[in-house]
Amino acid sequence: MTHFLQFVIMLPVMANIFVISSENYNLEEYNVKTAGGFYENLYDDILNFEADVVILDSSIQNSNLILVELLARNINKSFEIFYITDIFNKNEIKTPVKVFIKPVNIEILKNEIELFLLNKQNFSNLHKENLELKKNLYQIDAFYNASSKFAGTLEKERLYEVAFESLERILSYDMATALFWDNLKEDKLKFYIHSLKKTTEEFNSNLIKRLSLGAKDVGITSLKLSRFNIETIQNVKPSYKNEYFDDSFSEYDSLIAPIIIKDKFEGVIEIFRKNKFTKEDVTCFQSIIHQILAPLRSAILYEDIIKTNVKLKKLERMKSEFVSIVSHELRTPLTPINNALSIILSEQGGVISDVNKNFANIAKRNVSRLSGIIEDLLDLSRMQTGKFDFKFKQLSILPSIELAYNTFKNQAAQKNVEFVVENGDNLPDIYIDQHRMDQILSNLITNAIKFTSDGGKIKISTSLIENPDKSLLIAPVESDYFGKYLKISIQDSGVGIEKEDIPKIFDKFSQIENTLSRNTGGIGLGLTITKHFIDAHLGGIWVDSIKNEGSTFNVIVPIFSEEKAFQVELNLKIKNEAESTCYLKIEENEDFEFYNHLKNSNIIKLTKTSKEFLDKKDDKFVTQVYIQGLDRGAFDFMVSKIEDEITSKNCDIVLSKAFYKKEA
Amino acid sequence: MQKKILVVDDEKDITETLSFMLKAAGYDVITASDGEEGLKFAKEENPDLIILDVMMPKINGYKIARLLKYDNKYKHIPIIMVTARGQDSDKLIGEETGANEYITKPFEFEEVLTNVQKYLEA
Repeated sequence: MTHFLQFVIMLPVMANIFVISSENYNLEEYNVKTAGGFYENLYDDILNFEADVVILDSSIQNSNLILVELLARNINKSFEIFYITDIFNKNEIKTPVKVFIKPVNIEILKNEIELFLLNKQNFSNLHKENLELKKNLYQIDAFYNASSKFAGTLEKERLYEVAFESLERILSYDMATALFWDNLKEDKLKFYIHSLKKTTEEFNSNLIKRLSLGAKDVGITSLKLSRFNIETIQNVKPSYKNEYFDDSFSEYDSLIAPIIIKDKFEGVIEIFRKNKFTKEDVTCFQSIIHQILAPLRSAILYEDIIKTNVKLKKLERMKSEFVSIVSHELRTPLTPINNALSIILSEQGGVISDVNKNFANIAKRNVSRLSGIIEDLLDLSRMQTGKFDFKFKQLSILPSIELAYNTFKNQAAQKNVEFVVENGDNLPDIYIDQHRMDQILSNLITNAIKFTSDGGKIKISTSLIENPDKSLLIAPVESDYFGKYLKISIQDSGVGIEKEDIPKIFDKFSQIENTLSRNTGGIGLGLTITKHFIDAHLGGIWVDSIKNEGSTFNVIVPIFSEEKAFQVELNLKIKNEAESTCYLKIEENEDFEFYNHLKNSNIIKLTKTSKEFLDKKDDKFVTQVYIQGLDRGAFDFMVSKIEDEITSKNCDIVLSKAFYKKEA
Repeated sequence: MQKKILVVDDEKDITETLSFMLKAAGYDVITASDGEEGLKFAKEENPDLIILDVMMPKINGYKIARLLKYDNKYKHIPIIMVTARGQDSDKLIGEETGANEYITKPFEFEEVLTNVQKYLEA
């Protein structure tokens, strides 16, 4: 039954039959046109007639030629050729035409016509379906594209942009608009418009009103537009940059969708098109809007995280500044206290009793302890604000160890603690800031003495190690260096550290939490600062400890060649400017080897080798440095480095000019 | 002849203890309690050395140092800057102003005395 119905539906067309014959065929149910033979406009007539079937009689003069011409003209297979002939000669007709032998049975002919029409109809339907399928595929592709793009971004604005792009590909709108919250600022909305042509401000404000109505439809009434600061982001197709939209909205069909996330109005999207939107278009629109929801949710969360992060950073900075200010303020009153105690103790204002002298000494000792704590706090705040300045030089560790030994040997002796140093042989120089290295040693030795009781032992030892087990380190070393390290160990026979406490000891104020060790004094910043200094040296620290048997703090510092050390340091300085290239132009003195070594550092490119400028009488070189593409800090560092080098080379070189220019 | 030292600090406790100790060490000491007074005394009292605090009302120590060091009449006077600031960048500013020495609070009197003697015992 269904088949039959289909059959009926498929034959609504009146077929056009063009007959080239002297005979008359009984084909009255079709639209027939007859030509008795060849004439000038024959082929044009056939095409204009939109013939479905051309019947050609072989008895017509030059029928062979006509057939060939017909075949040639029928490239698009718009009609079928029926060739009616007396004798069927296979050799004569090889071409794809239907051949009928005379006398022709008219019913068979009609049947053939019907069959052909049916095929044609089916073919055209297939073609249509194929087109539809292609369109669907394109849409699916666009959907897929949209979702992968959605997945790739956490910026809200970009998400709307991607939604617009996808909607344009699928629905080819004339204009798309969106109104959404700028989550970073509470009272700010963003109005986003993508259009074929330019729009006027008035037009935009009407669009915004429409969008706010879209928001109202779903129960959002709080969107009182005048209260908000609206930023417009407009994107016009480049080809229509100079044309304005001047039609009224009524000429456009539109689709609007509010975007609600967690019951909160997030935004609204509207698209406009002159052609009416179909049911399928609406489905597409809804799917795209649906797709944007999940990434938008993430984007909003992300924005929240950014907001919180900004707040936290501000708080952290305020805290550091507070610590810094308070510490500075504390130093001022300490000065007169210290002075007053010194005066009393000097007895310049009169002799004091031994008892009072003892108490004044106690006060003085505690003033210096308090100053130490304040210094620690200041160091901490400097550490957090990145204000530490390190001055690295290639130096031997031995003077620092000697200094530390001499500083602490009396203190150790007072506590009846044995204090020894065992240095390894042939220790190479390391790239250190001597002052900070002294502080590192001092902090670690102070701790060792503090936690070691009467009759104990403290040993400082130095040695060379290769490829240390980095998993032992308290925190990973921020460098790709795998070579040799100098190891400094400070071993004590003190109280030791509980295994679970080891990871915590480098945290700020770690001692404060640990009430047991409160009686040893200090506020537990020493190790935090120590670790920070070691990190700056690209070194590492770890501790081996057994409770009640003692601890060994191991510090490792990489042994760089001077060149490598310089590169490492410069790399650190310009770490955040990955794109920057540094050019160094030296006007004078080509064979100054330091410049070659700069040249080899990959960071610096010599743009021009210099021509010598040497005043032999004065024995002076004049150099000029031209460095590009660095931030100010890295530039200053470079220049100071070159100056250091000049000084150390002991040749009388004047750094005449250093230009600072940051490359755009 | 006794050398004259000008101590400029808005903390009276500091000027008092410092001047006591400097007097005990054999110097003549005058004190000023703010920047304006400090500058005035520096110009009028003809001191041999100035101990100068940085953070002060009216005119800060850096400015006083600059005013004196860029004035041919006074630039010979050694200046020891004293401050609670201890950061490297601050030290640099101190050097740029032309101050001869830089001491950070809290300081030991011996440190001050060593620096004073460096300029006055020649």
